[in-house]
Amino acid sequence: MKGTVFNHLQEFVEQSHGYTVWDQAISTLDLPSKGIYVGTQSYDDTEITMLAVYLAEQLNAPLPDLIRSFGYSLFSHLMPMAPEQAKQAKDLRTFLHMVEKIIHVEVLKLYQDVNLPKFDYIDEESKYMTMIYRSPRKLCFLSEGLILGAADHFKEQVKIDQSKCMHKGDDCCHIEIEFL
Amino acid sequence: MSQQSNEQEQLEALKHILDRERAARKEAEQKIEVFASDIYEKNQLLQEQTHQAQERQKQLEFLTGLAAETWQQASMTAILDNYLDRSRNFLQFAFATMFELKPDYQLDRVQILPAAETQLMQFEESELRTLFNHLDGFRLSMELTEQAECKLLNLEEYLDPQLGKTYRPEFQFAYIVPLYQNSHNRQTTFGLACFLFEDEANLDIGQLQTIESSRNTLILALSRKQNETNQAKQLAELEQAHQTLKQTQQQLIDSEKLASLGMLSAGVAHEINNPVGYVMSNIDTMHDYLSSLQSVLKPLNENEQLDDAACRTLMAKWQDEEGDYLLEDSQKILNSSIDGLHRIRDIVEALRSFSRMDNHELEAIDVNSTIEHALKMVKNELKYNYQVITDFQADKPIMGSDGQLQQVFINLFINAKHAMKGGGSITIKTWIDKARVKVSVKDTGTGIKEEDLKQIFTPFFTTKKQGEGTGLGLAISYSILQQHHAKIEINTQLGEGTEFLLSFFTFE
Ligand code: HEM
Ligand SMILES: Nc1ncnc2c1ncn2[C@@H]1O[C@H](COP(=O)(O)OP(=O)(O)OP(=O)(O)O)[C@@H](O)[C@H]1O
Ligand SMILES: [Mg+2]
Repeated sequence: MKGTVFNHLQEFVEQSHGYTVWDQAISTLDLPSKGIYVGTQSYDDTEITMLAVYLAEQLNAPLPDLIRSFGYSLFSHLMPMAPEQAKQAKDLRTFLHMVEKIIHVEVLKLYQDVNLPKFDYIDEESKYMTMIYRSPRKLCFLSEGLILGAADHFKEQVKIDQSKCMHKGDDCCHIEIEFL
Repeated sequence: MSQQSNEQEQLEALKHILDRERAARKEAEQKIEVFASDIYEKNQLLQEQTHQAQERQKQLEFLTGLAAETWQQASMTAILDNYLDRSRNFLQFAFATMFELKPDYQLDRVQILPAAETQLMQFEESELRTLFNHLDGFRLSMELTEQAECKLLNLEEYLDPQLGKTYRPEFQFAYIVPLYQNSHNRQTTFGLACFLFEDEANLDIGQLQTIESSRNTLILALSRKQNETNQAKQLAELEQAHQTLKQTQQQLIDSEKLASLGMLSAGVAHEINNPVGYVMSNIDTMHDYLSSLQSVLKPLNENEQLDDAACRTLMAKWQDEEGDYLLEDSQKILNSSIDGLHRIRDIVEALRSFSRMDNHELEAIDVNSTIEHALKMVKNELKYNYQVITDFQADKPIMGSDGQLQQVFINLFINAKHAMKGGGSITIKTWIDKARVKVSVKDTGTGIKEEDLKQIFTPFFTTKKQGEGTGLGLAISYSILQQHHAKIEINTQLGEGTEFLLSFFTFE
């Protein structure tokens, strides 16, 4: 996971819960990075998981909710990095297709060492779409948050639900999106 | 938790965060440094690769350019000149020279082009000549005989040991490219290109390899050109042979021309015979007159003193012999004899200029007088039934041979006469037309048939009976007019007559 993601997580935690929360997390958890994150560097994926689990516990919030709301705020940081074509997507649906086809493809060109999920799409009904998420990092809730962030960006309303989830023992996550 | 300890906690956390932030920044800066030096190295590498690519590009350009140009050159010298010039521009820092290494180990036909980057090296050509004079031609020749390949010479090792003790060359290296060799009785002359380098710094092995690669094309082109030249030489020889043949043919025609002259001479003999005849008969008459006068005047000799009777007898005799008439007629006879002799003298004069005919020297002449001379020669032929009308307006000279042109005109007049069996008139006009002197010879004869017209200048083409024409007249005339850069035109109308129109350049 890139340092930027950790930096954003820090910012997110600091803003919503204060400096002490973040500092406690870092001070308590004995992370290989010692909490020093450089944006362009890669850090072990377990660090983000450990941080998320610890924070959820500390803040007494369900882990999925925490990750989802982080994803939501992360989106506005990622969007400026997106390729021009994606920025000019005409609507949310089009944009979501671009995540797999364009955005992450370009990301991979820029940083060879990033870990990206795999998305498949079921898009047959005008009001619904399914994004099938696959990743060993099992960050489906992050995706939910990111999608919600994207919906905000495109000024659209969506309802999100998962009919299948790796956290429930499925081999992939089905993120069901209903366009309202 | 108290307000204070809460603030304390916050401060503590901020301090930690700040420390981590700093650490991260340092790390990032280090990263940037590594990154920057990485970029620098990559850039270096890129530059080097670009340079190499450019070099290769230059080499390629040199090779392809040279190849293309080499095949276009017109001669071996041009190929070599072009090669030397291109190589010099390609090598930049080398003096490009060329010379032949003779079987006596001497250098010949030395050619020197200064380096393209001349400001770096200021050498007098004489210094280079000194260098070449010191070169160990023997060693070089031996080595080239063994293997005629490109060679990089360390010049100090190639100085003539007998001369080179004190001499130190301005150049350290010479790159020798053998381009051609001419063998003659097992003696070989090498044609060499020689690129001189001041020192090692100006040597680029890659460039020299390129020069070496270009050698084959050059050798091929040179040998091809040599073959071409040989062929051209053979062609020239053939042409020479052809020329000789043509000359021989011309001589043959000339001797034929003499034969037709023979025919003319009959006319000329008659022309002379005529005045000779009447001068002779005049002299006979004078002889008679003289004896009559003698018989009258004889008494004057015998008697020293004439008495009246004697006087009377003398007077009677004078009357008898028509003494007055004798004296009067004698005067006429003498005048006519003088006329006759003048005519003979004129004809001889004309003949003399005719005999100068083969003396091709052109001089400024008056075409009118040439025509008059020619007319004099044929006057006898045109005596009966022919009218000669002349109108000479041309008042500028031409460059020509009087004798040769006389022959041309005589032939035209005789041809005209032959075309007018029952008689007719010949009109001869001369006039100036811009920078030309024009001569028209027009008859009222048969005219010339179209199919004959094409052939009348062909030697031996004649429509006349044997003995009357040889068919050489116009052929010879034509070649004479060509030598005069004169044009000839024919206007003819069957049954009406023919005009020969000649056009000469005026001479001013
Ligand atoms: C709705 C839109 C998006 C979704 C659902 C999405 C989903 C994800 C998820 C779930 C991950 C975590 C890695 C994993 O699960 O294996 C990820 C990684 C990443 N995404 Fe996206 N993404 C979205 C938009 C974007 C945009 C707009 C960018 C901007 C260029 C972006 C750039 C990245 C990068 C750089 C990573 C790799 C992080 C790392 O390995 O350090 N994504 N994305
Ligand atoms: N004025 C003319 N009128 C008609 N035919 C002419 C005239 N001049 C030349 N020809 C024709 O051209 C032929 C060639 O003339 P050319 O003077 O060359 O030879 P030739 O007069 O036949 O013989 P040669 O001049 O050698 O005694 C003549 O035989 C005649 O047929
Ligand atoms: Mg004739």
